[in-house]
Amino acid sequence: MNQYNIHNIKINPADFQHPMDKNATRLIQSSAAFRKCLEFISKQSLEKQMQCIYRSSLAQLTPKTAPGICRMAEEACEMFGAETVPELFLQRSYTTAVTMMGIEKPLILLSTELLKDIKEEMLWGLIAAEISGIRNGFGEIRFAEWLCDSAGIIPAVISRPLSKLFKEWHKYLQFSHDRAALIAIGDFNKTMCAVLAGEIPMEILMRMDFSDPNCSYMKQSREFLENKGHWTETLRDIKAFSNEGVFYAARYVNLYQFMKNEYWDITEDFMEEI
Amino acid sequence: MVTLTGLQVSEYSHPDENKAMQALNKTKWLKDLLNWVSDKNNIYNLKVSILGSCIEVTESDMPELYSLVSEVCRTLDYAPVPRIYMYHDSVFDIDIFPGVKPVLKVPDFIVNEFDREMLRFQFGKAVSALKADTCQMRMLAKSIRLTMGLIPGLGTAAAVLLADWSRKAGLTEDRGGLLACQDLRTAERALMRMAGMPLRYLDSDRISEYIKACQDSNQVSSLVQSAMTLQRTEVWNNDRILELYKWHYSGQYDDIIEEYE
Amino acid sequence: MEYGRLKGIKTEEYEYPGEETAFSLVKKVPLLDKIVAAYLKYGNWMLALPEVQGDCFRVTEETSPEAYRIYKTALTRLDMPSEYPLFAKEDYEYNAYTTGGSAPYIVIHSSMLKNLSEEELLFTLGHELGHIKSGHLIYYMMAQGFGQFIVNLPIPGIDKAAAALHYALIHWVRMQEYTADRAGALAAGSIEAGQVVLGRLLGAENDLLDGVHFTREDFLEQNATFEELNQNVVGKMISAVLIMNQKHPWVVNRIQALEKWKNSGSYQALLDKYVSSLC
Repeated sequence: MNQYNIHNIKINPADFQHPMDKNATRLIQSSAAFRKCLEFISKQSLEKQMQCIYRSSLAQLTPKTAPGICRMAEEACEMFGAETVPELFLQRSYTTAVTMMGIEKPLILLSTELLKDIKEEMLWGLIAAEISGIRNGFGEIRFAEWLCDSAGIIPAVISRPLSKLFKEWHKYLQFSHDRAALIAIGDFNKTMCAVLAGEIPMEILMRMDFSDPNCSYMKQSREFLENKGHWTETLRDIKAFSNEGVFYAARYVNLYQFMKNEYWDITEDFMEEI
Repeated sequence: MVTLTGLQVSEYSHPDENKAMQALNKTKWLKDLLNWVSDKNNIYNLKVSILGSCIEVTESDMPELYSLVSEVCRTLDYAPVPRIYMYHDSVFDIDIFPGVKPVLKVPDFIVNEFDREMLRFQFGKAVSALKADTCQMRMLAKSIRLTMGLIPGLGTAAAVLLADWSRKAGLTEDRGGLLACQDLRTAERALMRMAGMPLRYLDSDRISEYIKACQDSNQVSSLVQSAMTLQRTEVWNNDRILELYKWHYSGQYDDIIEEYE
Repeated sequence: MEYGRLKGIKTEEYEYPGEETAFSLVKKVPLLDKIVAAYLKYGNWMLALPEVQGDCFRVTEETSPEAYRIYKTALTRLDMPSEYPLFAKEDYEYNAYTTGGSAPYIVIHSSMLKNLSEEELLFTLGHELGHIKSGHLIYYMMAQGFGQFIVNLPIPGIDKAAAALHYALIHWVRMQEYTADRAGALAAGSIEAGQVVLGRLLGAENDLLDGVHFTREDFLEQNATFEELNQNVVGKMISAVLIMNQKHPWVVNRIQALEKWKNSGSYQALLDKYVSSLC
């Protein structure tokens, strides 16, 4: 457990948002295509359709079925100043990604595979990270992106210009999420376990010391980032361009640097020693 | 457990594998193309995909798994012990990358689904592929068959040859897995699990009954199934179970064990 | 509830209301006989069996006695006229399906065999046997594997028939799913077991993080919340458009339908009729 009481934090996610993510978000939000996309979504009641699908086909996590997880969502909204507490849904899936999307009524989607192995405080970090995105406008961007990817829903004249912007945004989105998770959890090792949750068994992750700059995962990550060569860089860019998110190795190094250089400055006003 | 010091792959390789490789070698342009693609594939996997998305599991992180892989290497007389990278996926296949520092890309699914002895079989397959130096071609066969199939005529023929060789190489790997675990029941359990029966209802005492069911089913194999087989880079699960059983009871397996005992 | 064969039980006795009407619309489609004959002869469903035989685990009394025992119970309870091959297929997703034309067989995914209780497996296998028992398996298969096959048939006027058949079939198949759910409940001897299985399809598992727990009441409440979305005209239209091309009804609706069937007394009446006749 962290020596500080972390639950007093109330912070605007924009204060720690990764600068590249901020830039990419701004480009999307200021684009004409994105405004047209939101208008189309509203006109076609697409958010209502999404709610219909989710409520009919996924298990809803309510204060009755999952009181602890619902409380996490409420606390995270308080922490990051999100006005609407998202609805939570669970799906059977081997993927362990947590997704938040929605405009007027955001929702968060969790997977059964994630919940099987994860510790509560790590789940808290992941949920908090998603909710931090609400205030930054990630909910509407994610929803628009999901619809653009779903064949034929958004007209190509609107979705095509947005596609490149979304892919660029995905290169940095996770960096901001990871920062939010670290601020919520207050412990670097546990945050990294949360980030990597599901990739390998949690009992193995918890044995690793991610805060040690000489740990094996740091060596692996640096090797990944420092690999040079025309083909290496080309293939890395292609993979990153098509990837749903950033490589874990890049996320780890980025978060480590954030912890070393900025984390304490951002959070010291909120910390009170227990 | 008999340590098979000096074991050569040729002692247990499937007889049809060599024939299939000779057929492949006749098309020089194909070999050159495969080598080029293999080189780029290696860069992508080792330097990008594995380092970026997988997590290296060292001996101190997972001593049980490391000791198992070390034992398998010792049994099959292979060195060095490969590095292990784990990732999240609901598949059984271990991806294998040879070289001075060989690498195994291990899905977390098999660690959860297989018991220790079944894992010994599965890692035995992987180490056997390292010994035979066939892993890259096998991986290529999986990813390339679609691409090659798009080139009419010659491309399709090449894909068929590669797939044929890949299936036979897979049977050799199964034999290597059996030599690693040295227990037919364990090997067949692993294969039956991969065919779709979870351990909860898998009865190890019923292997001969299952073999009989596979043999009866083979008698009604159709032209359609043969045509479908052409494109596959792996033998049908039930044929794998049969082939390994036949090899074990042919006497060749016992001969190898006795030779090294 | 424990019992043996429901000797003589007919599909019509537990058929979902509306299924017969939906099927009568299917039967009205012109050229139907020719389409069915062509599908039986040339349909791609034939490609599935060699793959299943080659790759999947054949479940028999000899190869897997425990799993087979559960299957046999379902066969017996539903008074099935014969036994159909059962295969276990490796897959993480929860699913089971029936196919095979005049020689039906059932495939169940390994994840269901691994995680479901015996009662829940009885429901799942009973559901699939229900499709066979209905006698309309070929139409069910056509709906599953329809696609481009029908429109490409060399039958004059096929394009108009194809569109009519598509929507009639899809609508009927959704009604069939409700009937098959009832067959599943009869095989399991429990409506609740069926609701739990359907809840699992939603993602509701009870062996996850501490404090996460689902009951059938929660599913029924979720259905009620879902129905609230459909109260107004826009909601009704959205739901109708979204379900139009779906081969399964909404899962929450299926859970509710089982509850309604139980509350009507018909389920218990059927059991009383057939179980009491066992001596």
